[in-house]
Amino acid sequence: MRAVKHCAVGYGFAMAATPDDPVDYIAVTRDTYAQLGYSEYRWADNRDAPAPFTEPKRPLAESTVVLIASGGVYAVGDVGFTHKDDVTFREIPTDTPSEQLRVTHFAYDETSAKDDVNAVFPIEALRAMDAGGEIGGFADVALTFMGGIYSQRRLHETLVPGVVERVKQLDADIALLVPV
Amino acid sequence: MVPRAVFTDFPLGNTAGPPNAPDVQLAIARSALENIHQATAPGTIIPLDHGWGAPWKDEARQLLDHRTTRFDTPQYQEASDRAAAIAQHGESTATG
Repeated sequence: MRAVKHCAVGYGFAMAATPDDPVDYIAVTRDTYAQLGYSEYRWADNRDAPAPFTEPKRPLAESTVVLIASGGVYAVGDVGFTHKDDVTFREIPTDTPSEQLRVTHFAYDETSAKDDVNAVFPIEALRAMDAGGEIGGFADVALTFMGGIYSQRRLHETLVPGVVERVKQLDADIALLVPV
Repeated sequence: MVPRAVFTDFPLGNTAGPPNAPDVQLAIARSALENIHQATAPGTIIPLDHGWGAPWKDEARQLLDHRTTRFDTPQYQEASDRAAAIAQHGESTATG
C-alpha cells in the first residue's frame, strides 16, 4: 500500500499482482466511491450469461461494418449529450471529417479524444480499411452515445433496443463496439 | 461475457489507440475485425501488445474521483458547437 500525496478523497491505492497487470477499474471505482461515502454501486454482472456469439456469414472483405462507440462522440451541429443517464444516441455519417467530430463525457480524461477523436472513435481506420478493400463496406452512419450511464434499467429498456433496431436497419454484418 | 474482443492496455480514453498515431489505430481496428473470424469460442479476448510507451498505471490506480459535474443539459466540447446545434435543432432542444 502506498500513500498518495495529491489525493482528493483520501489515501489508497488499488493493488495489482504486478505493476504491469491491467488496471482493475471496477476495484478502483469501488474503493474511490467508498472513500467518498457513497453506497456501493451494483455493477451489472454478466459473467455467467451466455455470450451472444454468432458465426460470421461472410469473409471480412465482403462484410459491412457498423461502428458503435460509447465515448460521447458527436458531430458539429448535433445536440450534445447530457451527463446524467442520457440514453439517446447520435448517428454520425461515416464520411464526416474527423475535424468535425467532438467529445463530451464526465468520467474519462478527454485530452486524447479532443486532440484526435480517433483515439476513441476509429473512423479513419475503418475508412482506410474500406478504401483498401479489407472490409466489404463501412455502414453509412456510426452510432454513438455517452456511456457513463448509471441506470442499467434505462440502458436495457431504451438505449440498447434503439441501437439494435438501427443496426438492423443498416444491414451490417459486423458491429465494432468501442467502449471507453 | 462479450462475444469476442481485443484488449488494448492503454490509459482510459485511448481505447482505439493513441492520438495522432494512425498506423497504430489502423492496426488495432484490423486486429479487432480479424478476430471476428479468428475467434472460435464465445468470450475470446485477445490482448494486443501495443505498448503505451510511458508509465501510467500507478496513477490510474490512485483512488481519485476524476469525474466532472454530471450536468443534466446537453454538453459541448466547444462553445461554437452549442451555437451550431441551436442553429440546426432549435434553442430548447440544443440547450435542454
